[in-house]
Amino acid sequence: MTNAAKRYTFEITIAAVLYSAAIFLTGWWARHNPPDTPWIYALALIPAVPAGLMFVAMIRFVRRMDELQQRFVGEAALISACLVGFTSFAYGLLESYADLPSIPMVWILPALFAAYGAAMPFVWARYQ
Amino acid sequence: MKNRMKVLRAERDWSQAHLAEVLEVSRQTVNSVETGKYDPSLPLAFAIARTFELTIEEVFQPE
Repeated sequence: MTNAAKRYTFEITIAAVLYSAAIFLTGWWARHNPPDTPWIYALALIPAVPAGLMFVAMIRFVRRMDELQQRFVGEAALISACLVGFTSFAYGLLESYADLPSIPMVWILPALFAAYGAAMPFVWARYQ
Repeated sequence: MKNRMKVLRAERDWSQAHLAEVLEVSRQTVNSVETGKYDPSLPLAFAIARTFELTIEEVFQPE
């Protein structure tokens, strides 16, 4: 494993542990306290902070990659953004005109990561 | 872009991994440049030529 990969693994692990703890504690607090407290907004956003740290770790890792690896990430991320963007746009039209059920926005980020993961093998194969 | 990297590497008995380590890139990048699937940036092309102690034109040729 390269030094960059080791550093990324360390940083992402710390962020993931903090995220898991934040989700657990936020959920526990929300279940045992009334939802009409003014602190609910800050509480709901606490897990977003370690999630943001994950993004910082990812960006730092990509900056340490070589040029071809950066191209892989860039192409796969672009395909993911276009796919998820188009799908959410199309579904938004269906929500508006066909009265389809609304999907919570919290699923957009997992969809982006899933589409990125699905696109990567195809991007990688173009350079073999 | 065509290149002579594979031949030059074989002349020196270098593996792709060794060349990648010298160039500070991944083995994947060395392989993709060798097979012509990826054209390196100018800094990388200069680094490759410098590693083989040749000019860029002696390593890379247009299609």
